[in-house]
Amino acid sequence: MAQPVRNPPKKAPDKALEKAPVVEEPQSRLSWILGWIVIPGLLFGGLFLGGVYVGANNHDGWIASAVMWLFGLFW
Amino acid sequence: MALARVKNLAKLTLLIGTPIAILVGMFSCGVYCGHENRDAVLKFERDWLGFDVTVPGEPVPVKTEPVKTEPVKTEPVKTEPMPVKTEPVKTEPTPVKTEPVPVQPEPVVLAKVEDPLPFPMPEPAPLSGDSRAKLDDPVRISVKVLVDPALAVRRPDWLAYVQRHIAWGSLVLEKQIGLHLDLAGIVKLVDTPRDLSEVQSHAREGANLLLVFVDDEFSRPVAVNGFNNANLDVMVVHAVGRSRSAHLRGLLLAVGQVLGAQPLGPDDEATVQGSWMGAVRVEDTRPIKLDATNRLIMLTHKAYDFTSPSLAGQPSEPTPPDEPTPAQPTLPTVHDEPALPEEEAP
Repeated sequence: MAQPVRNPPKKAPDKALEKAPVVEEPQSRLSWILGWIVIPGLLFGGLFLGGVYVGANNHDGWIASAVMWLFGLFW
Repeated sequence: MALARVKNLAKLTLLIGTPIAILVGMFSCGVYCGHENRDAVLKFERDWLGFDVTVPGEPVPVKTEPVKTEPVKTEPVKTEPMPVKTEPVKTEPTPVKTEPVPVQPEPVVLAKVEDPLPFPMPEPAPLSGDSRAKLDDPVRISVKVLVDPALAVRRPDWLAYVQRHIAWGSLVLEKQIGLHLDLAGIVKLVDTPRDLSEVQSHAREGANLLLVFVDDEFSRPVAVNGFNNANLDVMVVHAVGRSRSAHLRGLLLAVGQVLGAQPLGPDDEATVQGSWMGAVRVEDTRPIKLDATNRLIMLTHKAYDFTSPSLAGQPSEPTPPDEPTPAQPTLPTVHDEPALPEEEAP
């Protein structure tokens, strides 16, 4: 009398499924522009303009003095 | 082991330090540019952003001790303006005379403005005879300025802004027609007036002329149908551009219209030569001039009294039927809108 099979042999994983590439959401042009142009531009532009404001209005402050000293080392 | 740790630390430092260095570098570049181009940046802040900054190398507007103007007591408010004259000038009788309304003006504290004219002003042509006598007869008129709230928002320094405009306008008018403007007061309006008749009843505190500085850009001169032998006592002043002297040409045009001068067409020879009565936008760099015809008109009108148009319809004495009725002046709208057609009486 044959014993019942307790652990049926596992099926081999489907190779087709395993190798299926991960499908990514296509990135829209708008989000690309926002993420790579607009937001970085605002960030860097804001930093630069903030520096311009500080340099013009607090031209004798310690920040401007330090920056001018630093630039003076190379120029 | 120690080498690996050092490597990891170096990687970590690069990973965090590089973005920080880029950000600090951007800010530092800005500081360097701002420091190197300080004059241009400060000029931009003052002229375009309305900041109250002092540009190095330019004459500082001297704010000496405040000049306390004397309150005018129980002067007629509208129909009996008191241009201060050195000699009595024979003028035509004003169309209307009303009872003097006593007012209790509050003293206005104004700073003295010694800012030089922002535009070049060539010497006016010499006059002779009667015109020369009128030019040499100085007349002072007191002006009260009402400021559009929109302009006050855009120009946080609106008090100083108006003061220097009146000072500049007075300089030009004194040289051209011998008329001095005295600033009687500056008041910020609550709402932008749609029509000058809305502000006509504003308390004048003894001022001869009410000028409304609006934030609107000049497009074309307002249509004014003035008196023959009197001057309007209220006028709108438009801006030309956004500089710190944006209302100067508008002020001169407004005073010109008050004094009976006629705006010129854009193709007029005098307009091309730069007369401020030319109904065109003119760049700030052009010199200030006044054409000869309008100059003579203003020289004549400067001695006339200032009268409210709405009161012109209530003559104190009946006009004889054979005498021509003087033209009824009309007040322009502030926004220079075309007047609505009048409804015909049934």
